[in-house]
Amino acid sequence: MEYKFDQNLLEACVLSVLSRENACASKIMANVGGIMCVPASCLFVALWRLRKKQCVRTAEAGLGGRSRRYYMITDEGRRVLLEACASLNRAVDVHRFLSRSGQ
Amino acid sequence: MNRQAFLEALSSALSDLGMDVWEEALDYYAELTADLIEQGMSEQCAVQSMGSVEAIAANISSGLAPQQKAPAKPARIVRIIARAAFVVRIAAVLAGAAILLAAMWALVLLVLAIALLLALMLPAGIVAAALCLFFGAAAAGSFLLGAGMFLGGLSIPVFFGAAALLRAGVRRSVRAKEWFVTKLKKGWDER
Repeated sequence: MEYKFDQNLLEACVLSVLSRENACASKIMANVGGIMCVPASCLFVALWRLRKKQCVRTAEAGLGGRSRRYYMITDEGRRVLLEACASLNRAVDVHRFLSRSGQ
Repeated sequence: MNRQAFLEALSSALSDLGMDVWEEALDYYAELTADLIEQGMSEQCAVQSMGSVEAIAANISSGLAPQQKAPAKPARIVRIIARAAFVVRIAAVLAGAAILLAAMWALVLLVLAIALLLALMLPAGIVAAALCLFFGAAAAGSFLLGAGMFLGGLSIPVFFGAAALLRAGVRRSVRAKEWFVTKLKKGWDER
């Protein structure tokens, strides 16, 4: 059974991609697709929610004869990403504890 | 299904959402499919890889705020009342849009008029400087020529500003019209 990633985890992954470089939707999709299988509609929702939470801002830039929307992480986005990393670290500790109990 | 048909179907399927979500979702899918085609994928494969329009609409509506979901279909008995209320609502929206459009065009015309006025300062400055020189007031003539050139030069960025304003206004108006027509068709059918 495929593990169902929840919305917050997807948002954290998007923020992680954007913390490395500004990217357009297809590039974010390709990067996030490397670790989880996400439909484009879920990515749209994640980007929309991140924009509403002011974790991400956008800018239009012309490239190859057409305009593209680029997504950029904000300071708030970096803060949220750090919080997500801290939560996941705690989750990893819990996972180790559970694994030991299971053995 | 080709890309254009996909975007049209998506436009209709997402018309229950707010205009901002609708507009951004259409831009998002237009860009994503265009990128895939640019990377060498066929138009049909690019569209297929996005999933079905129904699934996209369901995912987006469930992922966003619950108040943006479609209202329940009313019973047949209240249809006439609902349609009358719908017409009144549409009329109010149209009136609001007309006021906004009028304000936007008035602003564009005002900025264009300012640009034209500033551009006219250049020949006016030259004529005034020539007259001053003719009457022996060289200092005043130089000042008027300089002022005319400065104001004439200022007309160029003002003109480009007005053009940018005009382009943005036309784009928003066209998008608003598309959204409104789609919503109108769907809203009427639901009542």
